[in-house]
Amino acid sequence: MGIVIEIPSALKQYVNNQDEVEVQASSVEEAFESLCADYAELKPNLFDDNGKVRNFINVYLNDDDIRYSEGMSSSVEDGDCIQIVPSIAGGRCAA
Amino acid sequence: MLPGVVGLIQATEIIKLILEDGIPLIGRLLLYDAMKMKFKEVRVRKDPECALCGEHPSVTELVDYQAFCDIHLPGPVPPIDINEDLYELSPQEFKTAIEQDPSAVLVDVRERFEWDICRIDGARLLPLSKFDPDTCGLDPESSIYLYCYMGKRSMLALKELKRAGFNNLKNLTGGIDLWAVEVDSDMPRY
Amino acid sequence: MKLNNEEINRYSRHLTLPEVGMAGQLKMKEAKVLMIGAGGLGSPLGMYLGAVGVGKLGLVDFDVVDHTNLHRQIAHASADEGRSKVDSLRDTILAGNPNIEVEVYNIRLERKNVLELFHQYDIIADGSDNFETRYLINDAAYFTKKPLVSASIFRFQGQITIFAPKSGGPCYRCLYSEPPPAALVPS
Repeated sequence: MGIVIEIPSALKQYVNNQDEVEVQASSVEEAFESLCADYAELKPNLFDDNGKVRNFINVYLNDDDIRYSEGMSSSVEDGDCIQIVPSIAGGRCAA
Repeated sequence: MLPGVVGLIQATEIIKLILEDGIPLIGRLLLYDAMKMKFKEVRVRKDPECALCGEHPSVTELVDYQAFCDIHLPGPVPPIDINEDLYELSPQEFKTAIEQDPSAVLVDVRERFEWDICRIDGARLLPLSKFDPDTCGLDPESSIYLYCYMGKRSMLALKELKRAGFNNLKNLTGGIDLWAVEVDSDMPRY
Repeated sequence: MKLNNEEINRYSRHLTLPEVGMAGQLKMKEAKVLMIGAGGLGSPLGMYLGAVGVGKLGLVDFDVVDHTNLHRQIAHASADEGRSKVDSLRDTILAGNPNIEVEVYNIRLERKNVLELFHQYDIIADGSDNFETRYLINDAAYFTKKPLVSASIFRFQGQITIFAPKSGGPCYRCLYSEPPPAALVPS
């Protein structure tokens, strides 16, 4: 069992239309590195040029925003769930 | 049906605020996924650095929201600057041109789900989301006639082709939607 | 404020609920809710708020009913095509419950009109379909100290929350400090 990353419908097109992707990692950062290594097109949609999570996307680790824990260096263990939640407004969306 | 479910949750929360009863959805973001039929809740905290309600707000009155929302991804290369009018053809002109030009290649740059709704006979599907002039198999010597839904995406594809050295390019003004109005009344609009 | 006999009969299943009762029903009758958007979210929202007896509803939308709206914006019927959405929604709401007041604003919500409008209501409901309006609504709700019940949808996913900075809660900018870049697919 690894770390489950839940993908919002707005970004599914970059991960072969999967709802979730399972990765092996010990931190949120590692989890995203692993995810983006397999799905390179996803990366610019999640991170800006400085590697910071884009402002219209929130990342939740087990239902709490990583901004208020250790951010990308928050540690994760098997069974944890990382949720990507983009800003949506009716018909228009992040991607 | 999605807006029905979401709108009624919104209504429920409003009634609870009015009744001042129950536990309101403050500080909690409810995520609903109809395909998984899952409700999930994540915590939303007050951001001490919030530009509006934080400790040192920079937004102290209403601002220019159009400017605030005018954000662009730093794309790889911006579209080239051309006089678009020189490439536009009205639906009737477009129809005549493809009928009379033996080297005409008709290209639809919409996505497949749109192609499945309706299309112009003889077109090739090359969706803009995956469009690459170098690998699309089009011949730079032929005349390329492009269309999409309303005419904007096909103009982006046209500019890509222009940059790649194609010269005989035309765009269907108003896209297949205007085509359905002015040329082919049997074509459904969506 | 009192309920008339028709209202007492109409809301009797509320009046016998301990969580509502006469006091709760009167709170609803006194309440003023401003809804932004009379489309997919605004249709069920307005129909239910009207039916349960919220005393005053304000409807803001500048759009007209289009044929492609009908499959999901259920307050609008085929015969409403071409009518303003706020008029169509108002008629549907009042057909369900003529006891309430519905004010329509067939306008685009803007910096110059938003504050005056918000001051006249107790609760703001955001069912708009674009980011400019969402940030405008958030900021105006903050400055006028009104709770903002926010719902947004995309394909098969929805997000719902209440922004109430006055009660110590976060605002929309706490959740998303910036909107996404302009849509990548223009038409």
